[in-house]
Amino acid sequence: MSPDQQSGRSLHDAMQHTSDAFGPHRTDLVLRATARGRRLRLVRRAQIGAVAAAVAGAAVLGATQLPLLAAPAPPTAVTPAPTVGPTPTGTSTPTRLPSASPPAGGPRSGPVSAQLAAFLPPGTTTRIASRGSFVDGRIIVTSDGSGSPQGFVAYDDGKGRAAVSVSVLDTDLHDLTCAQPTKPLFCDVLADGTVVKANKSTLAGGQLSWNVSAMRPNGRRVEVSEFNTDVVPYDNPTATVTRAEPPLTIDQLQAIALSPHWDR
Amino acid sequence: MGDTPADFLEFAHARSDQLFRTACLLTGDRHLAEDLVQETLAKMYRSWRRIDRTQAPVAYAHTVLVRTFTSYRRRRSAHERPVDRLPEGAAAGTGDPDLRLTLLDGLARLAPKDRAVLVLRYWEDRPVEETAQMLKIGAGTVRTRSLRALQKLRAVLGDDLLADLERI
Repeated sequence: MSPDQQSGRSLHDAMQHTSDAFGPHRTDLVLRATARGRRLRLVRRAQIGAVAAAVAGAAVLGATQLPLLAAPAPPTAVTPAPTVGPTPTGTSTPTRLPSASPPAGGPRSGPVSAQLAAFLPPGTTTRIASRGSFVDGRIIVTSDGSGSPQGFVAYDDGKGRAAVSVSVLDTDLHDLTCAQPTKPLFCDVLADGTVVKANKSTLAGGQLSWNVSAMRPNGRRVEVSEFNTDVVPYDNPTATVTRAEPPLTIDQLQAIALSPHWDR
Repeated sequence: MGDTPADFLEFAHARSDQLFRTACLLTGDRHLAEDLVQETLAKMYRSWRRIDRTQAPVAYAHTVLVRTFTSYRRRRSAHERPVDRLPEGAAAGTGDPDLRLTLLDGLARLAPKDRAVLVLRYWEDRPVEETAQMLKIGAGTVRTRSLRALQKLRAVLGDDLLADLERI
């Protein structure tokens, strides 16, 4: 370890001790934040409604259209740099064992959407978008803010198009644990310490979101999601439902998430 | 709570501790830190449906936290003065109490953005470029602010802890 790294570690340790001393925050912090967030959302809706009314009024009067107030976009995601974090402690007997031989996938290079598409069963696959780069197990984060690698495809098994996505990131925050206040579909800690968590959610617009996340002990986290819409409804809240359910089973999602394809 | 997305609650419960610790270092006061985290999570809630969960909501939350902090401190800058007494809320806990209180005192003497640079660089271990992106300043500015802040901090903490930190 270089002197700079050692000194940086000293300051980090000092900050660790200092922040430890503050103890935990109030237990109702999240509840208060949620209530505050709900108020902020109402205010935003009122502002948007007021602007929309103004635009409509201007149109009636033959005036030029007023610019709509666009809500500020979230900043470009950045990949958290590695920090010293807790390692998963304790293991439990998995309730759902991963398949004996997880699929290997295709080439570990090229667009991330193509790498995801290689896992999908026969059907029609359209690559929607890829962000970042994933090459031979390495996550390449560029300075332009492209962030962690993600791939999005529209997949049709003959029952309707559906968006499927994968994201890969490295973090030592180990923020995926089974100790969560909301009950997932299932959450297991595998024998090697990998945490696997699955969720089935119904979004505000009635869209279905199925998701499996796998956090490996070395901090690599792979998230595979699918929807019963042909675009990702998180980006398009009004996305139209294209089929009754997402196309892949949870087991298939889990197999993709646990594939060695995404390993370092 | 009925209309609160379950995944938001899960995210908030999972991340609030880490956000709170960062907020404590930024503000030096547990009550201000709780307010800062509450505002951060409220902004996350407001935008939750538009946040791409396949990206990095954790990094986004930390970005919102530091930008809310610097924005808040900028508005309050006319009233801000370095404190000579120890910040309220530094309750007894783990670690060396002298070091802890001296570090808080040192951080409190820094400009808000300098403080944020140090916390992001040395507490959250974020690289210069990422710190620059989060604070919406240039990478060179981050290096300059780091150097300046470390020099001030060294004056408070002494050379032992921060020796050689100026070469970054």
